[in-house]
Amino acid sequence: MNTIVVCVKQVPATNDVKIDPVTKNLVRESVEGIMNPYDKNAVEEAVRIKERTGCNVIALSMGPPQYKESLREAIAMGCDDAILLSSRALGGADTLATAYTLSKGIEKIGGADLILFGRHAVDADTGQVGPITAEFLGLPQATFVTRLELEDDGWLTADRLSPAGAETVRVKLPAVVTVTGEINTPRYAVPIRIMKAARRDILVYNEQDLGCDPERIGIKGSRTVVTSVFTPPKPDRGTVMIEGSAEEAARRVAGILSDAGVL
Amino acid sequence: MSENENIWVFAEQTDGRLAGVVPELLAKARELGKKTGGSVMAVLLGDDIEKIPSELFSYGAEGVIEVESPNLKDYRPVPYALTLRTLVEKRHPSILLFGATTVGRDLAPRLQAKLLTGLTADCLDLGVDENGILIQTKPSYGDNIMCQIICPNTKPQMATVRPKVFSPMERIEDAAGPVVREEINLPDDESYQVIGRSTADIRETSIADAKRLVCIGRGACAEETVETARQLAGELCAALGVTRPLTDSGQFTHDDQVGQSGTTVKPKLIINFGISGAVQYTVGMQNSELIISVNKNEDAPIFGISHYGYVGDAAEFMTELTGALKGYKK
Repeated sequence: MNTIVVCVKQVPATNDVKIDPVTKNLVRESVEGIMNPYDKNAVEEAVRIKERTGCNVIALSMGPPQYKESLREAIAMGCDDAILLSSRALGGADTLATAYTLSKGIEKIGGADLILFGRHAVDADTGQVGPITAEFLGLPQATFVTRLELEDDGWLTADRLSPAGAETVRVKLPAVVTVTGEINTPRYAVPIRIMKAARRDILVYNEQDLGCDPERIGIKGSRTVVTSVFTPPKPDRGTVMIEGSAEEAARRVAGILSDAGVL
Repeated sequence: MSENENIWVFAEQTDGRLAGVVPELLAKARELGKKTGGSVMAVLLGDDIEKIPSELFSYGAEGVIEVESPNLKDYRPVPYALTLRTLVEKRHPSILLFGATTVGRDLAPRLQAKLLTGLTADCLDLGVDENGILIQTKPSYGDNIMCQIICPNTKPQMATVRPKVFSPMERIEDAAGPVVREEINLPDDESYQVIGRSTADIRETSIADAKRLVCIGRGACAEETVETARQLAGELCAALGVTRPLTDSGQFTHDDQVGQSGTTVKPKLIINFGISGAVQYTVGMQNSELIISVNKNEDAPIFGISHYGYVGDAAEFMTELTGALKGYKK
């Protein structure tokens, strides 16, 4: 194991977002960004492997300059380096254009033995960027991984969520792996490392540095278009509140269940 | 009718058992097909799958495209994506739907990257406009907002769809239709092996299929309360589900978890104990037919999506209800 690339995304600190009824734009209570929680699991897994094997861990992100915050956090957690892919032309990308850009970034780094992602980002919730990146790099993938073990023979063994509950797969390296929250508990970065990371310069590449096809990045490279955004209507249940003691209420509920024919 | 109006549904199966989401997708696809004029084709990949086409027809498929190969026995992303690409490039469907399962969400993006088309994740609704453009509604920000997404310039228009969102059609016995068998020469995938599957985890009372569910959350996680909940579930012949905090307790696993990052459920009855009703939970169960919730906090958001609510102690109510139900036993 020489190099691990761990891909991270910065997401809003809260999911409590609403739509402005007039402008139809997102109203974010707080614009503060945090590292996507599942990406923290990916960083933790990468750093644990580094601690065992002495490999090099590079955190990689695509987004606006403020995404450097999450990359610095990745460094504070133990990543050796961080790279941000950033420019105006890269903005507005859907999962296809994002994964293309990340794959160009990984090629620019010189490839990796293992590329880690979180299972999905908690804002857009697609989980697509990992598998698409794997396809663009021509690498095998294991998604929804709950346990990861590197073998001596250049393969990894992974437990992943599956329709039956769980399955164990063996995947040849280099490979792309997306991890779930169950795989580990991410460490808290210690203050001294946070301070050191805050002083680190983050390398920034734009589309020219990466040699991107201009037709495949940003809005131009995207195949999907968001046509509207809305707050989902809450179902109106006309909730009936049952009063009285637990005994009375339980008898009433038993009657409701019997009447509804669910017993 | 040209094939390139067609709507394909990926017929996900494991060991010859069709995934529960497939009949749901077929029903929705038929609805879309009525508007676009496209036929609904189920695309079936695997080995030893001869019994599945009749099942697909009984749930509304108008045709089946089948590829049978030992290389496709276990689901593996690379050979499955290669096979689907070959089929798509030969027949050019307009729409291609997958269940948003751990298979669909693994396979669809891999295929999307081969086809360089658009894919929308975890859809909660699908419609078509007069030009046959698929209007896909997907949740974002933990289901707090919905986005409508289209893929206007490339085909197929691909989506993964959350299970238990659409209802399957009434099963038609002895339905039949055309089965197209394709031979595709696949190089074996030398980079990925399935070496084990914990089939022990398929419980008889899996929460996804249970008709009745008792669910407990942070407000009902004391050891004795969990035991009381088990007794109530036993009395109701219900499965026992939990929220996220309990999956780390050792007594429960991810398989028992209801909600966005767990399993979406749609039982006839769900009774919630000590569950406040965060959106990540409620999106996973709000389509249940009868929702009853017990919580100490009268302002708990869970009451807003419940048909009946009771403000009080979870364990006490469980004990009383278990007793009251015995009176209804014949």
